[in-house]
Amino acid sequence: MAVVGTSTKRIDGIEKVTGTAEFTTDIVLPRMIHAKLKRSPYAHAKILGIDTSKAEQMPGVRAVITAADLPDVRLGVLTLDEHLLAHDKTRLVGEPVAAVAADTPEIARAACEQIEVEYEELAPLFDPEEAIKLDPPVVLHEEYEEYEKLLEIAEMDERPPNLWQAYRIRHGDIDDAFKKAEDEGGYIIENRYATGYVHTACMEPHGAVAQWSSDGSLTLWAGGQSPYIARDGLAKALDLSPSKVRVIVPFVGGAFGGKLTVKEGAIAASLAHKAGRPVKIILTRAEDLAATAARTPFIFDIKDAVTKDGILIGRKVTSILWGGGYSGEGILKPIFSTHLYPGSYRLAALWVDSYGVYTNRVSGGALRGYGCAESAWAVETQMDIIARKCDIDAVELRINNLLTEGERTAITMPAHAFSAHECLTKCADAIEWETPSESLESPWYRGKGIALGNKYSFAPTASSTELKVHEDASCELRTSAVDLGQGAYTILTQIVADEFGIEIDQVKLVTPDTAITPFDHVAGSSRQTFHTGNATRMACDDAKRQIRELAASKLEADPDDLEVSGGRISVKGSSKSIEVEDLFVVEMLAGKRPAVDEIIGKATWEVTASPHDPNTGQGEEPMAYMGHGAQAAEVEVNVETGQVRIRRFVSAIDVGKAMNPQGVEMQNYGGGCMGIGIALHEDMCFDANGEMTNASLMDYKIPSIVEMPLNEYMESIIVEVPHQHGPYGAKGAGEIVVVPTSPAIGNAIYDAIGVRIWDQPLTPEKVVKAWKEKQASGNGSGS
Amino acid sequence: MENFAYVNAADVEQVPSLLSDDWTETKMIAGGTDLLGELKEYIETPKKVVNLKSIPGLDKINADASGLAIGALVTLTDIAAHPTIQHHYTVLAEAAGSVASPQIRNVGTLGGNLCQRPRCWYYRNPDIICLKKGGDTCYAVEGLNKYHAIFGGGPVYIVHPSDTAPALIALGATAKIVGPNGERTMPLEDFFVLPDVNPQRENVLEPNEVLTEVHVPQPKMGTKSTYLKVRERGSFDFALSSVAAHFEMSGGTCSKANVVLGGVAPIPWRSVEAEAALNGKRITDAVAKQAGEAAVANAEPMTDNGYKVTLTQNIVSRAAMRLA
Ligand SMILES: Cc1cc2nc3c(=O)[nH]c(=O)nc-3n(C[C@@H](O)[C@@H](O)[C@H](O)COP(=O)(O)OP(=O)(O)OC[C@H]3O[C@@H](n4cnc5c(N)ncnc54)[C@H](O)[C@@H]3O)c2cc1C
Ligand code: SF4
Repeated sequence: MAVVGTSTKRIDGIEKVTGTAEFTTDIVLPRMIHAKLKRSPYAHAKILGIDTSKAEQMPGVRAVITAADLPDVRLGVLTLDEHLLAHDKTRLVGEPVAAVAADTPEIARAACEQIEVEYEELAPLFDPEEAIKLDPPVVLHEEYEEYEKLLEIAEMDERPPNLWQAYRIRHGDIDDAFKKAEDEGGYIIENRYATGYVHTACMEPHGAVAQWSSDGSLTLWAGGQSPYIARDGLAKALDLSPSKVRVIVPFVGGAFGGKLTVKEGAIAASLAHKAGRPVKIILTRAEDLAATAARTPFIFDIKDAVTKDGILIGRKVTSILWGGGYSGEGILKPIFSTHLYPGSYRLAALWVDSYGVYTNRVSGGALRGYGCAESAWAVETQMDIIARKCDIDAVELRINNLLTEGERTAITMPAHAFSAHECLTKCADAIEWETPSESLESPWYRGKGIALGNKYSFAPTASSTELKVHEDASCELRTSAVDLGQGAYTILTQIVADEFGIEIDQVKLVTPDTAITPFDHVAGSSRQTFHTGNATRMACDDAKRQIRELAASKLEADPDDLEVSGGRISVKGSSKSIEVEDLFVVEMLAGKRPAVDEIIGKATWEVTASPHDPNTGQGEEPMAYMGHGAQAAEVEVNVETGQVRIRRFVSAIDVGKAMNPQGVEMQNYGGGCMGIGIALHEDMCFDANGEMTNASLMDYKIPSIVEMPLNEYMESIIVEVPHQHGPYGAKGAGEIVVVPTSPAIGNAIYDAIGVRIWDQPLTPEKVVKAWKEKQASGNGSGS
Repeated sequence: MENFAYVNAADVEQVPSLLSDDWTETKMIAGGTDLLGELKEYIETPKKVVNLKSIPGLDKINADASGLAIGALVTLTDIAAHPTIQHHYTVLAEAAGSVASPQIRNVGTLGGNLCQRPRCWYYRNPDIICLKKGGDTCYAVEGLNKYHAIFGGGPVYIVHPSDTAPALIALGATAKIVGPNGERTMPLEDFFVLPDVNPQRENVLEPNEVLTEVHVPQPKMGTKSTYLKVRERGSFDFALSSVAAHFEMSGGTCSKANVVLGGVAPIPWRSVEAEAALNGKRITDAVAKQAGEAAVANAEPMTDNGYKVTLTQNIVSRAAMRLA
């Protein structure tokens, strides 16, 4: 017992550190060849013609494809607006227009250079505020109205032609709130915030290996987040029945939201079909950074009504998500970002207009925190500004505005397992919030900042698992939940060990393979521990029920009086027991077989939800659960060089129940590190043609170990307020850990040097500029 | 990357004969931390790569009364950790220690550091043939130039990426070069050339010449030196701006200031203006401030890199105060 809740070594740790873990790039099949993509150099252009003849004639080239070789279907997450290979138009630099498979990657690359594409350049559109106009200078998708859409957007008198998402919240009387603030000596605080272009920058770039069988079925190996989303996407893209597609997920070197679909995999599959050989595609680092979905920027205009005592009474937000050429996995971000507007706070009036638009830049995708990490930047900086305006301590101000257990937020989410208060106070204590930072010698300044955050996990959703019990009492869990590095395999193993009272090494995991493992929605939205965890527990129960029924006659007892643990079935309150092995019989030449039937427990855990009304943002229980967390940072700022060092960092998150405390700690540290990078350094830059200029890990600056505070100044706090539906009370931890990071750091910078920087990242360039302006004007900007 | 022939050089004298007189044909490799990136990204596609690491003896540091002789193959780690360099040539130890990451410093050599190619993101993009690569446009002028030159630019606007070069120039180092016609030496300051002299190269080397050694004269008694570098991230990041300061002091007065800037110009940039503001002065906060102002008085920022002027001004003042 008690494997759950005890720090457990990652079950994949040894394989990973010894290099035996197999990733997509390690897969080598007989007769396998290599693919490269021919990409558009233009952000916006008509394709007049493609001549592949020279490439086809090159020695070693086995197949060349263009859109003409593919079924004419548009793909997408909820708005189907994108072809696998550009059809008649390209809408971003780097969009694939053709693909080559050849004996070596070098030949494939050279062949791509021999493909001649005739383009007619079109004016590109980059500015989201231009894009959202009713009469924009450029329209990206002329045929938008004809596209298939699986999601209703807010009603509008007239849809701006580049708009793909509109969502509103109408809660309470917003005008009354502003009037009240004005009339009663309160404050109206209005600011504009922006987030930057961020990439998941996974250590493992995107890639896939595709192989066809003679019966016309396809097997694809790809390190993605969801084998079933991948399977269905491939089936749709290639016009196959899903049953003809098998997706196997090897080890994954990070995903963070960036590996939801398998565009490259589908192209590889199409090449493999044409070439009659297995095809591998692995993107280069430059391709991975420049041409796979990114966390694209938001612009937030936020206006708060606050009483003079610092009670938030109304909030009005207009936001635009700066989408790219296609709506992609960013499609729900304009909705999910709104979760943070009420966040953990009571809001009598909330009025939101949230949009997503097309521009000719890289498409928007998911990245840890999915919209919430972005809106937290605006909201939690506002809270700091409000606190200073009202002259109330920033922690106290937040506490004064918190909801209580059982209340509903302004977007009708029940505040259940509501731990914001606990996260906030524990975090504040750990950073010694009451004690101001020491002063340092010029040019260094120290300051502290704190922020709160939430991450909702989406619904409807489902996870299924199967649990087979072997004659040696070991258990085999079949799951399509993917371990992206977050530790899902370890936690699921712990659950099985716990439920059966067996050792960790008596549990075997059959990892995602759609030919074997049952449906699981996705390794995303911090959902695996919660949903797959529940399904796993239920499958264990089901298998144990079967065991009890099989054992009942042998033990001459009622199945309900039996107990299964440690490989034994015993009658409660008696010494009578048999081994699991006794349920199996010996078969000549075949070892043992189950006496009656295979013992396979099966379960599906499902959470339904009532969708929000896109016109009001109101619904019943819109999400699976609401996660809470707080983070605090103490920074050191050099006003001469603009450098910001994180001296101290505290991350306090509520996981309901820490299934693997060491794993939660790693999330706190790893998430903190990622959050620090996003806050301070990471910034995809684009030149006037819409091309990313810093598509390398030299120039796209993810944090190094030096960016992290010293060990003793980095603190992980685990809060456990159990959720009624979570397995053992658990909720997810994967995303909340990057949500409060940026505002905590921004607020700390303000505390240190009295300047606000409104747009991420907070680079030395912006810090020195803001400081200079402050010196020139004789006071701080902001607040 | 493209295939190429790989040849181990037996000794220094052999190197010129192994190299072509055409830049595109052959390349030398030392630690390879820069060259391999260029090969993998198809920035360079030589037919032959000549390995210098096989040459014995080029990885030695000799310190004697005349100064330091540092072979081209000495690693940056060895320079940064050398006690004599740390004590008497502090600016060089600090500069070498500020390069990249420990892993890169362990294999990266001094010769490679001085001869490394620009980091301009247009140059490093294989699909772009800019002026530096023989094209006719410098894309940084109209494009994104937040990391580009604020001094000495035109017609190309790269910044020289080396950290050790400003330090060595501040120390008055000389370079030894071996070519088809034998050996030549020159002040390291003259080794680097501005783009208006040669837009495609950063130094005087011919395609078949090799840098073999750097000599640094022993600093006079009472000199002080330091290297300050501003970068966006704490590790493996090039300088947004850096300053190598080496002051000869008599009493509390700076009798001769050497101030060489890194990361701000196509070559390591000697700031004669800052030197003039410091020479013969007792270094007070006010003098240090003037030196910073003087350093950037003639800066010519581009559209996105004005902030580098502020950074440079601030670190020049800070360096002067540190040596006061
Ligand atoms: C991630 C990263 C971060 C970096 N950060 C920094 C930094 O902060 N500061 C910094 O200064 N550098 C930095 N660098 C550049 C780094 O490559 C150099 O500092 C290193 O010293 C190069 O040495 P090397 O021996 O590896 O050179 P190589 O890669 O072997 O050679 C570099 C170039 O010099 C030529 N060359 C080498 N030796 C000679 C010689 N003896 N004579 C003539 N030509 C020669 C080669 O042909 C090649 O063109 C960084 C590099 C990377 C990859
Ligand atoms: S600065 Fe130099 S390398 Fe960069 S684009 Fe201009 S010419 Fe090319």
